[in-house]
Amino acid sequence: MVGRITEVWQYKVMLRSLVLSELRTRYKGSFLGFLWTFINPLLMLVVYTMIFKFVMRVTVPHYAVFMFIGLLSWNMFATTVAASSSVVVRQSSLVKKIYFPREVLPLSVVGGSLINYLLSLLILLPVLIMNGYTPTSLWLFFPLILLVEVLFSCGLALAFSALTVFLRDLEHMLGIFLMAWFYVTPVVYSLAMIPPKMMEVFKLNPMTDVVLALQQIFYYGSPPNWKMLVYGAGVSVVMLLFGWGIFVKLNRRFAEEV
Amino acid sequence: MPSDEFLAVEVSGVTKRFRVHSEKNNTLKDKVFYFNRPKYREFTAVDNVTLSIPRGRTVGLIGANGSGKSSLLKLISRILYPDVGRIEVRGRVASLLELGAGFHPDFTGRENIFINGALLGLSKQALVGKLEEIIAFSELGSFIDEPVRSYSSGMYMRLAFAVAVTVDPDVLLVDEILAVGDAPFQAKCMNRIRQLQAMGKTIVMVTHDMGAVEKFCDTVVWMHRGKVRLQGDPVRSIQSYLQLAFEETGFSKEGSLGPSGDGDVGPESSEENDLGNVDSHAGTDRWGTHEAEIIGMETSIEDGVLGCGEPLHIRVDVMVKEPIENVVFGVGFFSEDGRQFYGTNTFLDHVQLGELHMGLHSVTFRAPSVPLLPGVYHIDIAVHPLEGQVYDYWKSAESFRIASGLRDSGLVRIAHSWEMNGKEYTIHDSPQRMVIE
Repeated sequence: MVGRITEVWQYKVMLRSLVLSELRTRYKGSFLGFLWTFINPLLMLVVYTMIFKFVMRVTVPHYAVFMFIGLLSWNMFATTVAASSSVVVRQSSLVKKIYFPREVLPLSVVGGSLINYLLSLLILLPVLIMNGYTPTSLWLFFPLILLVEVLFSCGLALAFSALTVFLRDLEHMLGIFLMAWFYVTPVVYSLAMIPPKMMEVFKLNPMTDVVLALQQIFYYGSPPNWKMLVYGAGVSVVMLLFGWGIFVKLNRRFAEEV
Repeated sequence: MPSDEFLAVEVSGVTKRFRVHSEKNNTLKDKVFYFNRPKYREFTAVDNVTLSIPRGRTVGLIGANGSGKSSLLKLISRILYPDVGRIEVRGRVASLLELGAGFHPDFTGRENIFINGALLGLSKQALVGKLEEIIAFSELGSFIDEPVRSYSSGMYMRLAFAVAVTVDPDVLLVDEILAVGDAPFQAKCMNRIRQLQAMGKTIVMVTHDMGAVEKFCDTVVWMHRGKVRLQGDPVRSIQSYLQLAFEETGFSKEGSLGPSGDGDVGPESSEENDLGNVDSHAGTDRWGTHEAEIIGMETSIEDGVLGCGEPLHIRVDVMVKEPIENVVFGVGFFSEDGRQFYGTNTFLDHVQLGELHMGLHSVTFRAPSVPLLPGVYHIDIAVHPLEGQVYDYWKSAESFRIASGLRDSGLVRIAHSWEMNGKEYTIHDSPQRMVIE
């Protein structure tokens, strides 16, 4: 296991090159190019705010801020899982022709989404400040919360990238699965709106812990709920080990199956 | 048998089976409905192959399409994993199974050098340092800053090859990529391979180009239906391979049998041979009717080394089993790449040996000077009747190395002197023996 980690580390140049070419090609040929990285979340913000504020009449104060915090973080997670599920098949020419630790492929997806997320924070920041949320020392918890989310994403990315090679339907099932997951995570509504009886069930979802912690430090101005965050971190580590285990077991046959 | 640390690649008892899906069976529907009904048949691509390749050796994998040679190469490069058996590779491996893997058409040639280089495990510093060299090698000139999509296929391959040969591995695995570009570019590629060989790299190449095999390889492994059919010296293996290939495709076995045109195909005795033994002293390839049998041989070669221009004698002891007439003794000299550069026999030399009675005879071939240049050479000896089947042909009965400090080029040192304006010049570096260990 240590051997595999050092090997992935040795291929960090390849990892970086994959992430960069993924980011660079994403908007290649489009008129606005890289600006889409910023326009997309902005447009999303507009659409969701319209629906939930004016149509659904959600009464959360500064709803746009509240929702945007969770939405960006959820997007990073969802795009990672969706894109990673097809990454091995997409890169079949590499998988068939050269040796490299296959973990590099799902990890490059995580890296790409992470960079995109960090860039979209450049939109979040002015939105926060315009609504009167100035930086506090609580914001220092952000990297920790992000780490938990990245670990969890890595775990799922590893698992799904390997499983999809052998069961191609997963890629299509993931869309609906992620949509359902989105609605059981308190992104567009606040956790307070959940009936207390169902609260415990919602708390099992590790993404709830991440999103809630982010809302706490940025929106509510309170320290993260440690019990929940530690639980989330635990689940993430277990998921990472589990996903990696699946990946290690399945990756030996990638070249013949893609 | 070379000890373990001298082996760059060790393949022990490796079997690889593929599932040939009659239909791709990867959807949920198929998994559910055809559960327990495998819709594939198994195909054994590599069947219990054992192989060891010593360090610094260049090995050619040959065989018909589907014989498992590319699969074997992929197994060694860890793209595929064996079902049974074990593969060990010592040192850094670079596999060039496809040129331009990961090339991105939208990026410029320069950018792709970095992308492709990263995929081959090259560090950024190494690439920056060698950037000019790569661009010069690719002969792309100002096109290097154009997107790769605008390249001709030749330009694409040249760039890909230029990056590929920058890799500095201990073990290089190459699949059918030498046939790139025009003749001058090919010559450059060949040169690069030679350089890598000189640097002591281990190279394993899959190719259908028998010329390349003959030129580069020390050893040939002939794969046939997933098994190693023959391994050994290139010329003989290629001959046998081509002969079988032609027979199977219904061509007459007359005509182009192989590079040396010799046509003699001995028993496939070197199968399962250890590659390490191949160029060692005296191969064991012998055939004949054995009415007269070579039972002993003695030469003036000491420790397998002969100096340029030194005398040579070869004594052959022959046991004759029943009285025979018109016996011919022959001797042939071959360079390492299997080319015969001298051969003669008692018949050609008009030596009448008369009738040989039953029992032991001894024949000696004496050469006052063997003016060969440094290299490895093999001697074949034979006893045969004037007409009919050979009694005993012993291929590579003796191998020797010419060791000397001479830097003349070619195979043979033609005795010579220089004269200018009527003045004779003496040649000072007289051919002398220099033992290099």
